[in-house]
Amino acid sequence: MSPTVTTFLFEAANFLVFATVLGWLFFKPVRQAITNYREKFEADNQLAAQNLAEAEKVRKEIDDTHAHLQAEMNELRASELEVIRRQADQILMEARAAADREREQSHLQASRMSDVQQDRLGEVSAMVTAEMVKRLLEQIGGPDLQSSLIQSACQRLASFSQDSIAPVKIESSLPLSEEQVTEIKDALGSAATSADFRMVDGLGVGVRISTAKGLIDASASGLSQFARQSLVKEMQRQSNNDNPNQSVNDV
Amino acid sequence: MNLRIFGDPVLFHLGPVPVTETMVSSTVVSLLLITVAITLRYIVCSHPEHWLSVVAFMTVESFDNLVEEIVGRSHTVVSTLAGSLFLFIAACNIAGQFPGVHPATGSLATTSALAVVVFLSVPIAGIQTNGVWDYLKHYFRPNPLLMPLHVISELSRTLALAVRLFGNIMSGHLVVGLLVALAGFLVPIPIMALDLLIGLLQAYIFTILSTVYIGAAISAVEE
Repeated sequence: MSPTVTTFLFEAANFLVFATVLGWLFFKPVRQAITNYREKFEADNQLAAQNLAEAEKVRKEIDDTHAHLQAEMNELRASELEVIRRQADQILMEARAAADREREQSHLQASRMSDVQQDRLGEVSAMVTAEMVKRLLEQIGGPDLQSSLIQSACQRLASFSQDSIAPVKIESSLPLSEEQVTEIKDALGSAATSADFRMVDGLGVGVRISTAKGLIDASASGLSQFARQSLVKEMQRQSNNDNPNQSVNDV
Repeated sequence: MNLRIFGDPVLFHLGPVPVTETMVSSTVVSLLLITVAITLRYIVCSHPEHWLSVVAFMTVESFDNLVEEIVGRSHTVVSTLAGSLFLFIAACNIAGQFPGVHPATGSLATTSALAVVVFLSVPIAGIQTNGVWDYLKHYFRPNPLLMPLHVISELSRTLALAVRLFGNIMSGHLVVGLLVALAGFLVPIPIMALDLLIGLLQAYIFTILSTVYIGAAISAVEE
């Protein structure tokens, strides 16, 4: 057989076998793999599209929920703000009331302090006045003033009923004359028998007669005490007549 | 160096059958390609993301697209035939660049065999697609008088396919052999690169023309 013919036939057969084997072992499985790959790609695409749609849906739901929550939050915020505002108003009102109470108490305390100061001032003024009256009486003291005071005490004693004034105690710082003792005993009437005449210090001119009906102080000390009490009474009366709601500044 | 244009040295005989150098060369190339194909198939099936799988995908896809563009529709058999033709011819041409290897496509017997395969594939594809009568009818169009010209055309293009491939590969191989014999080993390297480029180009041309012929037979009735 000719080598050329043999080669021709062999090459033809070789190529046909080669093409068949290549088609069977290479092209067919690779095409199948490509098809599978494309199907997988399509499936992945569809899955991705579905996932995207679901994601969009979830996103929309989340947006709706977010908007709803935002609205709820705004409402809650507004209500809380209102409550807080009310609480603030309440606290402010309470604070104002407390401040008013404090102010009233301050006013009251200032008024009391003013009263106390006034009382002390009155007391001091009365003491000074009493002392000045006492000194004045002592400076102008003499037999005439002594007699006048005793006479005045006797007139006062005469206004008491004579039977119920005993026991009687007559005190004086200066010695009493006979006329003056007699005048007092006359004024005492029946109670003169139990009268007790004493000398005490600090009365100045005049006498102080203690009876069961009361005390008659016609001494310089008593007059000064009377003047002091009168001045204090007058100042208290004046103070009570003043406006109780006057301001602290006024006080 | 023993340069030859025609004729194929017989290496040994298997009984009455002489085994030539071209037969051995094409057999080795075929076995190598099949081995590579099996390896790629394994990689494609087991590791689809591997870069060799991507290479396999691109190879098959490119042949499928080529056939689809030329024929007008997807045709796996034609695509397989075109791919096999290109890979076989390209591998034979590349193998010819190795020293001492005679390219199978440098033999007129091989190129003629391939051309005859294409020649026979044309009516087979036409008949399979359109039927015997519809396919045969296109030989009588537009005028029955042109039927001989159709036959001559098919024969001549088959001959052209065989001779074009044989001439290009044989001439390139011959030039490289002459340069090696005259100038030494390094001088023919540019010519070898050109020869490699020509070999790949001729493989592509052979494949394209074969696909065009087969595609024309498939769409003969539609035309």
